[in-house]
Amino acid sequence: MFQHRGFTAQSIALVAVFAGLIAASTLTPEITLAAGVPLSLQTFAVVVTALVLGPWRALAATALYIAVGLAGAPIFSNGVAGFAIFARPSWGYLLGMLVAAPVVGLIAQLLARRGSLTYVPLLGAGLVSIPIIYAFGVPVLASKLGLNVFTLPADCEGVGDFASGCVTGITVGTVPFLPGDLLKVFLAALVAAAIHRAYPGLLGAARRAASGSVHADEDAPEDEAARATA
Amino acid sequence: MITLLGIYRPGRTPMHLAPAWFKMLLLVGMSIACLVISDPVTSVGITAACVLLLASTQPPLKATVKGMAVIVLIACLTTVFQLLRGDYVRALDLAGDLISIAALALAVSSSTSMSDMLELITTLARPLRWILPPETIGVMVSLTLRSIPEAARIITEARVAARARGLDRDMRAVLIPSASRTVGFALQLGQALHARGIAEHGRSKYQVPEPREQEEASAPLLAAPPVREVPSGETPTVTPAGTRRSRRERREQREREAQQAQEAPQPPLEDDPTA
Repeated sequence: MFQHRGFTAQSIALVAVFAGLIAASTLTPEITLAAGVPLSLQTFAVVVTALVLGPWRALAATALYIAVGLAGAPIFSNGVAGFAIFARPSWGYLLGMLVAAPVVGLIAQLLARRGSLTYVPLLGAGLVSIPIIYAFGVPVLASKLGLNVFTLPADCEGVGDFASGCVTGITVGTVPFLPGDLLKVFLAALVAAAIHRAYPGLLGAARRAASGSVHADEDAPEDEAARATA
Repeated sequence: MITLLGIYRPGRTPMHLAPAWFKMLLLVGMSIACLVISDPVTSVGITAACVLLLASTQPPLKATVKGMAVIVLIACLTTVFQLLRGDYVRALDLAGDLISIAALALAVSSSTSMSDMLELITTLARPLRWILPPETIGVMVSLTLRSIPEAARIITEARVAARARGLDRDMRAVLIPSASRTVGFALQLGQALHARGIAEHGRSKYQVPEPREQEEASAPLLAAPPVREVPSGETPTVTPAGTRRSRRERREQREREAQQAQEAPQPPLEDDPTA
């Protein structure tokens, strides 16, 4: 569906500005938790991007953010720049965001097609991102720190016994971040609902532009009208 | 407030002079080697080599120390974990991997300018050119770099405004205005791009041809004498018909045309000397 003929100047501007928003959200004050994984507004920005832009543009924005970061701009969390991010245990979460953005965006677009872009459905869509991000983040974190993802070593009595090294990747990679990430997704759904109220037609316009390649003549005036109102 | 310089500094060390793709290949190869090799002596050797390579690029001291300190801290924590388990070989190997990849990545970052790296990334994205033409990628990257300070400014202003209203603790009062102003900024930017016709390559390819054909059809009518109309009108009707016919039909037509040509030119040739 997403031929580049549907890739309007408006989409390009939205993709670029939201990539900039994701980058800027990492520059705000943040907290570094255990094992050096920072808690920032990054997840919030990625989920808002997905909920506002829809699947393809959200994927493009996230990929653009990662590409600019890899090219050497210090826009990854904690001011990391370039390929040094792959030395951090947290780069799996970044990969997870790249996968989660189109999935969440797809759900948001289906919601837009049904016309239910309110808080609760958007919250449901945003919550999908958390298991996806963790599914990529936890294994990378565990392998970097030399932990097992699921199973404890044989000589352990209980879960979370830190002193004897009895701790799984799930515990280290999930538990410290879950409250913050849940809070960020709640906020993201709130913000996305407000944006869809303020600028209706953001996701619908994308659909028209994408299907405009099929019936270009019929949809052209409607498309222009949508752009003018937006 | 916000610097996008990273840790790159121009210079003329061997790493600066090496091409970007070579440095990328070195980084990827070294990462794989670190994952595969679990011999502690080799691991320590690779670590020493990477740290020396980092030192050879003469990176800015403060940023490098800050970047490496976090990694060294994580490596120490990992080592303590593994030592508590009594697995000192694995401890040494993991710590060596972490530090060597971090040092090598910093060495690449400090010796490769952002434009070189973006060029490499655009080249790697070449297979996507049917979806995303390279010009569009260039426009999007430069717009992103421009909009990072803009988005940061919007967030800061929203935060200041919320504090002025006494809503400093309310995340909604900060996030909703900043996000909706960001969308508004993006839409204005999109209109500006659209008005200038920037980044509409793909769209123009499919929409412009129709009016252009009309223009081309009307322009010769005004400019050229009516004689030109005859061949321009005939050629499109003849060529597609000729390609579709069988060989025998084409041969028959050629013979017919040859006969006509033999008959036809004679009257003007006879006429010409008389006239």
